[in-house]
Amino acid sequence: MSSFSASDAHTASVAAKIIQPWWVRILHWINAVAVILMIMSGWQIYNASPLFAFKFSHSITLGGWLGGALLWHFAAMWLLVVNGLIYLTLGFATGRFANKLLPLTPSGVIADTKAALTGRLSHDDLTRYNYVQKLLYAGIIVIGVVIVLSGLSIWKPVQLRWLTTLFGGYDVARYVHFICMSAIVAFLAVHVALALLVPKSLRAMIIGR
Amino acid sequence: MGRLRSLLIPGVDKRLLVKDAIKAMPDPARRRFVAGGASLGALTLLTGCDVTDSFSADDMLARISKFNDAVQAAIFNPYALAPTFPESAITKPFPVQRLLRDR
Repeated sequence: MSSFSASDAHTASVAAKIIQPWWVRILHWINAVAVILMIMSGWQIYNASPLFAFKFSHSITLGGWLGGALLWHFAAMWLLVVNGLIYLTLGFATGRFANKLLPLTPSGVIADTKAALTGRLSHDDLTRYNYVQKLLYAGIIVIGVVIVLSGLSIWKPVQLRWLTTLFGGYDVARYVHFICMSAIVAFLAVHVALALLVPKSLRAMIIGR
Repeated sequence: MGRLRSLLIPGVDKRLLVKDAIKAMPDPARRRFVAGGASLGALTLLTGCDVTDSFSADDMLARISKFNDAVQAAIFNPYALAPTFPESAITKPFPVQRLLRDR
């Protein structure tokens, strides 16, 4: 009797394709927790000395007051930075950044943005990022580095005076820190919305495929 | 042997038939999500079960704060000076920092 196998080679390889490696997933979710703690405690710190004519509602801040907020902010910063440094190291060492984020061209971004806004951007192959994703994911890494550096410059403006000067002085550094936070929050809104709009991407970030 | 032979449909390529059948089956990744992903979430509930070591956020924050004090002491350079400004540079009215608990 002739035998045939039910597991086709093609089917097996498609089913086993890893979209997000385990280390990416772990670092991603640790970062998510760290960023939320940093933002919420950061808002409470801002409230103690607002830059603009508004304060963040107490219901969405962490720490209760300036002192409590600082405790949270300077605790979560370790989680953010250590996790972030591991991510940057692995991203470069494994070639993941080069693989996923390059090439990045202005014409590609414009074309994909138009496709996204008209609902014609495909999400069939989650292992390949489109130009909008490349821009935002590369951009958020840069913003992350700038927000940490500006944060250090306003935490230690005397000991790290050279860094604070790089940002244009203490007052300007505060605005840089705030603007970076706003960019991160805007990114978060888009990122979460799209993860929910394309649920298989969220699944891929949890179980990897 | 006889049962398998009765599954063979004359005129139909059995390999293509199996391929079609596999396509009709549910996405195996879905099952993997429930088995793997959702149970990972259940794992986090286990952390609430250990009551021998009561976890306090305030304790943790205080400990990290002590660690930060050590780090700041380590990077402290007594010769680093704060910048000085002319009196004309003072913002008026002066933005006093609110140190009291927000209501």
